[in-house]
Amino acid sequence: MEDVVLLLKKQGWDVTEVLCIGAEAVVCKVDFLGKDAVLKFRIPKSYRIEHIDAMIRRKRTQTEALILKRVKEAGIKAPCVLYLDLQRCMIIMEYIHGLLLKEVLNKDLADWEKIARMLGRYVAFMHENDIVHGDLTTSNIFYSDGDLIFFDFGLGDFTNDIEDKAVDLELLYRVFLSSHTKICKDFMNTFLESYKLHCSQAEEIIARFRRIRLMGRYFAKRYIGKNSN
Amino acid sequence: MSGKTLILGIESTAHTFGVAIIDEDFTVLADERSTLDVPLGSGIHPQKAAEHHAQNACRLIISALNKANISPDKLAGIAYSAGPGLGPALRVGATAARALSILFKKPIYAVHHAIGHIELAIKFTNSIDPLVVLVSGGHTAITAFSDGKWRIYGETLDITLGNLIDQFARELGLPFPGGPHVELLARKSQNYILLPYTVKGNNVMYSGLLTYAINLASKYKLEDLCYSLQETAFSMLVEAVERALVQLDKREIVLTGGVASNSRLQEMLRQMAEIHGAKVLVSPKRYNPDNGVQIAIVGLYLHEHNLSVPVEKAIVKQRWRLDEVDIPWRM
Repeated sequence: MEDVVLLLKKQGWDVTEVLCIGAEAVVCKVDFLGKDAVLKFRIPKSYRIEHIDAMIRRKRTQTEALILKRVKEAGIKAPCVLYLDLQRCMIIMEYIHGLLLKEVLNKDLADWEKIARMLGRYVAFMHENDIVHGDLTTSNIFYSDGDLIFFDFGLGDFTNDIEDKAVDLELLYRVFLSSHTKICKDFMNTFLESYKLHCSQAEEIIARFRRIRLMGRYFAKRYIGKNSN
Repeated sequence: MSGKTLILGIESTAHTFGVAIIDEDFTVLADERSTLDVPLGSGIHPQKAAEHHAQNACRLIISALNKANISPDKLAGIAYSAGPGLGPALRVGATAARALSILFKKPIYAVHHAIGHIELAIKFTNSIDPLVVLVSGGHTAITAFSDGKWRIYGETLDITLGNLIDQFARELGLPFPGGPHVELLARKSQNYILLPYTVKGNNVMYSGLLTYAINLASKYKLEDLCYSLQETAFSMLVEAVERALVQLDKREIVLTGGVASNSRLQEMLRQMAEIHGAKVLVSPKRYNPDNGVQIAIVGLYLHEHNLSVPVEKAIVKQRWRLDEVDIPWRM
């Protein structure tokens, strides 16, 4: 993975800090035209054939950049795209100063109710605009100046599918269950209350969210008919 | 061998009836199997599988005892695959196990079939704390042990990788099981046809890919379709495995289940693992298909933890998730 950073430097990028090395991409802090910026580079994967690799990386880079633009139009704060290189599957975006929501909730619970309402409203805005985040965790949201800023739409998509939207809620719920256990129930209730107010399909989406964990194989509960065991 | 704990394991979830005997050191003393013949253009018919198992059960049990050269009263317990799988097929194995248990007054152990694949693979590859990739006709799951259970970090939300390949092969006139045929044909091509690639979160979905690929059958060469199907399906899975690997920071990947024998899948996983400094351990080829040994191994663990079931409760569970099973032997 160090090779990737070396490669970026060779390409002329002024990498000042490696922020995150994920399974899919490397995220670095760079100096871009004299300002701090974030570079996200989707790494080519030698294990899959060139055709599939290029298709996936390009499509996801393009979708992510487009989502970053669209969510801002929907009134949601997100890093601004400064530069897009589809050939190399690279996005340069605004560097955000703020604390991760995860850190905020772990340190001080004073604001949780306000945050839950705000989060409900923003996620509803996304879904109203047929955008799903795809990886809605408290590690992918900044809390800054009393507002939420969303990032890492790497698994996001444009979709009006109820199920895709329900997956966002399910993922968020799982994160609270495992990482913010103490406030999970109250937070989710407040979050959903606010989400309902701002999302027209909320009822359907929430109903699907309650069933979504049963989607894998061999869930006995999923079968409503007589269980023949 | 006198004095050693001996477990007899019976496998009958799908088209294979298997009977194995192992000792407490995991030495395989007998591993008898018989597999239902599946006619061209057909799949595993549950009733036919059950008939096959019923016709072969006694013969294979006797043959296993003879190979191991022991009398049944020397056994410490009987383990059987209780699910998940085909109801009629499972019931034959469970019935045989109950009969042996009552006849020879032995404790009976209900084994989850997939846990059998996982535990066998770990034992026979000497792995420690791996990420397990289980790919078969019944399962496609990325799993790791944590807090008392095998937790799932990615799985198929519709059909399995084994289903995908077998059904594709069947529709295109290849014999059952389709895996080896599709793999051989795929090697003859490098001509990729664009197929749908569906990863949701960290889960995969194969049913759309199957329909799409079958619909192209008349338009393209068979080897090009086999190649494209494998490349697409495996890329999806390996991507999900990669995310789980990075998230859990594991050093070893254990590959098991029927599709584990595919050398292209092994190669892809190895190339991915190398990037992250992890090793890929493939379960021995002989034990990738369903077998009695995987049932006996889990039976031995259950025996060591006194987790037998009363014989009247030794029934089958067609629907039974592997992440519901308590795993006290790893605690």
